[in-house]
Amino acid sequence: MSKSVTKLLSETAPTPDAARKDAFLRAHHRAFLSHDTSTKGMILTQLRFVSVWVWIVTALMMVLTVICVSTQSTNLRDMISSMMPFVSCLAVFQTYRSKKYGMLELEQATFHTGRRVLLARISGIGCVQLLCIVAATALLGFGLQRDFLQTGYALIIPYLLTSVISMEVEYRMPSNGSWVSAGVAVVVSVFTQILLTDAEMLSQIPQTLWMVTLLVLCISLFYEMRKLYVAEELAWN
Amino acid sequence: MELTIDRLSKQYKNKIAVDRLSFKLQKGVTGLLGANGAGKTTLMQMICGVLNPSSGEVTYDGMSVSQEGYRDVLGYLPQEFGYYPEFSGLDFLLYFAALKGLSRKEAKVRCKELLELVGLNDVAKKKISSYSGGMKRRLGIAQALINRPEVLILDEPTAGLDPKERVRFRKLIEEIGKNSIVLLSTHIVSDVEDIAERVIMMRSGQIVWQGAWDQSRGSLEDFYMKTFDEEVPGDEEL
Repeated sequence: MSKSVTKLLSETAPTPDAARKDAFLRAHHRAFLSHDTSTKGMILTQLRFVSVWVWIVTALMMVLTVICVSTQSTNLRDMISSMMPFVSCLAVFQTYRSKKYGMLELEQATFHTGRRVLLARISGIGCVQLLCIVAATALLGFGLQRDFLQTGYALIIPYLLTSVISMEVEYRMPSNGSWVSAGVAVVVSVFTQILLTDAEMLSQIPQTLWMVTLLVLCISLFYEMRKLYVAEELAWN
Repeated sequence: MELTIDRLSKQYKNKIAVDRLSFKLQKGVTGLLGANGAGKTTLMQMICGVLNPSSGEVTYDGMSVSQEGYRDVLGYLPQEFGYYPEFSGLDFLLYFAALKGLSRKEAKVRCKELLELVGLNDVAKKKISSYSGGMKRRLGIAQALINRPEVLILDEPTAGLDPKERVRFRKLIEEIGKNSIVLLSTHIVSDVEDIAERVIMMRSGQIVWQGAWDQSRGSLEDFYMKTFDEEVPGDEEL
């Protein structure tokens, strides 16, 4: 229907009485409501409302990756690895922000349970960032003619290490954990930069150690997420 | 339409916050009165599924708190709540509309209606951080009404509202109470005196009096003060 016709109809027809409209909808609207209870729908909802800074920093990482490949700069590659702790830190802030900003109680009393909201938020941000890390690994690996596994480890290990430590900090220090988590990100970033710039030390680390480290971090992250999921305040929810 | 609270208790290490409360609520407004620390907020949090009871049960027409059917008809305004700093008033309502299962189209229409209802349509796109205390409270009330709840739990809803806003709020709740179960907690007696058909008074986690209230009984405030000096037998057995 054209806009002019719609406008004409809305001006011609009287606005329904608010009380009658409300009474009618109360009586009948639940028959027409179709709650999107799918996981995909829930994740997309959470992603729509995630703080824009998470996406800005993630996008910045991808832009730097593209610039790194086009300029063939190893310094920039190391900078991207050092940036991963901050990407992770922002994701952890988002995960815990319901409690931080006093929204947890409101979120727990909605159609979707508090646990579902939390899980959707973690999954959504985690999936997007993980995809970006995989894409960055592939780009850097192809573009700089480097070993894919080494490149992947250099990106994912600082990310996971910061995630695990930050989540533990936020769990134990709900009121001022953010500052400590930011400090953790700085320390991991500096450590990453030192390690990556020392080519000799880097070459001495066996592949197996990288794999074991990655496995331990994955298990630790799973443990942290489980701890969050079964927290007392969400037990009823 | 019946909300049943059956022997509900909440115990912390050294304190019993709510002590084996049992009552039923039907359509209409019920005022929950009590001093600070009486257990009103704890009770309301358990009714809304926010807090895990130590024992007892909350059901609505046979549905438990954890079931989607109950959560679909629930509206809750806590005593204190926050907001994400980047949210405007409209963003806040749209976020909760999404969490309450409304589609984007439904959410836009409903949020616009509610912002008009609570008098915030002029500031809808401004950040919540710029709102006054009363405006934030009105936004919270709007959030509780998004899904046209059949069970509306309001914890100190008039805190921070000026007298004109409180009168407007009372009229709104009275209207909602015609079609829904409304439980309204406050320590300001005048908030419920004119609109509550039923009153529950709490002290130290227990109900000290509950019953139907009308003007013929006299001043609710005087009765409330008297009840907390001596325990008066209620209309119903506890």
